[in-house]
Amino acid sequence: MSHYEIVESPFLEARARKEDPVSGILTFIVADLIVFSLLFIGFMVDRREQLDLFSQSAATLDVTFGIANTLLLVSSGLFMVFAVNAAGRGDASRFRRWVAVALLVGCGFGASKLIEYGHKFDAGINMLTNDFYMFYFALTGAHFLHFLGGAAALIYIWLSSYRKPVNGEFLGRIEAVGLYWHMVDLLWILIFPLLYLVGVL
Amino acid sequence: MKHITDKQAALVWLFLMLATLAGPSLVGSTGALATLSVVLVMAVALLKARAIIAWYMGIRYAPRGWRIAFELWVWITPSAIAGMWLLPV
Repeated sequence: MSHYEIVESPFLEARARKEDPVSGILTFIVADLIVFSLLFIGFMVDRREQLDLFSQSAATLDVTFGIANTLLLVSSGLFMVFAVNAAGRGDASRFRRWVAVALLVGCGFGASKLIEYGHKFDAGINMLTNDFYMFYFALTGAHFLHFLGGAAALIYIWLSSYRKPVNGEFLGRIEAVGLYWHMVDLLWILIFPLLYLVGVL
Repeated sequence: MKHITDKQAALVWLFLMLATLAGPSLVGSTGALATLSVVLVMAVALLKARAIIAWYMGIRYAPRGWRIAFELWVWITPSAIAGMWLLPV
């Protein structure tokens, strides 16, 4: 039998390399967190120049909404952990159940946010009202867009789990979506005290 | 990627819920109380953020580079917010 010597090619290696969605999403998350941090600092810089305006405007925010939104996102995050763990065990049925619950609870946050925006608009308050509200709508609006992207990703992995084994190669994508969903929660953990608590002092 | 168990996640959730509900009670309105409030509120936010990063996201099990990146962010960001509040105008 003849023996063939295999020559490694970096191009073949690159093609053979499996995708690494977890590293990819972590890179995105770190970059996104840095961008939001810069926005937080921008808010604090402007706040120092217009203290009374910012304090009075922050006082119009309903802390109850802020708390409710935090509780909903934190709970949704818990269910996402359950979902990823179920996927790791290969339990597609339980995975789908927890993703659905995570999405449902997350949509509670979405509904709450829309109701809160509605109250503001009814009171004649919008992004152009003053600099505080410019930051309020920019920060919460950007966060809301992230939430929508995360919700779409949850729907994608829920539907895809019918066609692919959840603990195979697809698990990497599930973990990546889970990490992104937790980032949505993580951002709100700082947005809430910045705007609703510290902002009023 | 390694993850925490469902039971551990539930305990983290309990901490996050309680810390969130306690938040508004930390807010004092004027003078020294306001200063203390800001420090406490951002400290609680820091602890909550660390819990999500370390436990929900599983970063505690991630390679060192990722742990350092997230640790830097979670310490710098709320500290910067509190620090800028505390700076004299």
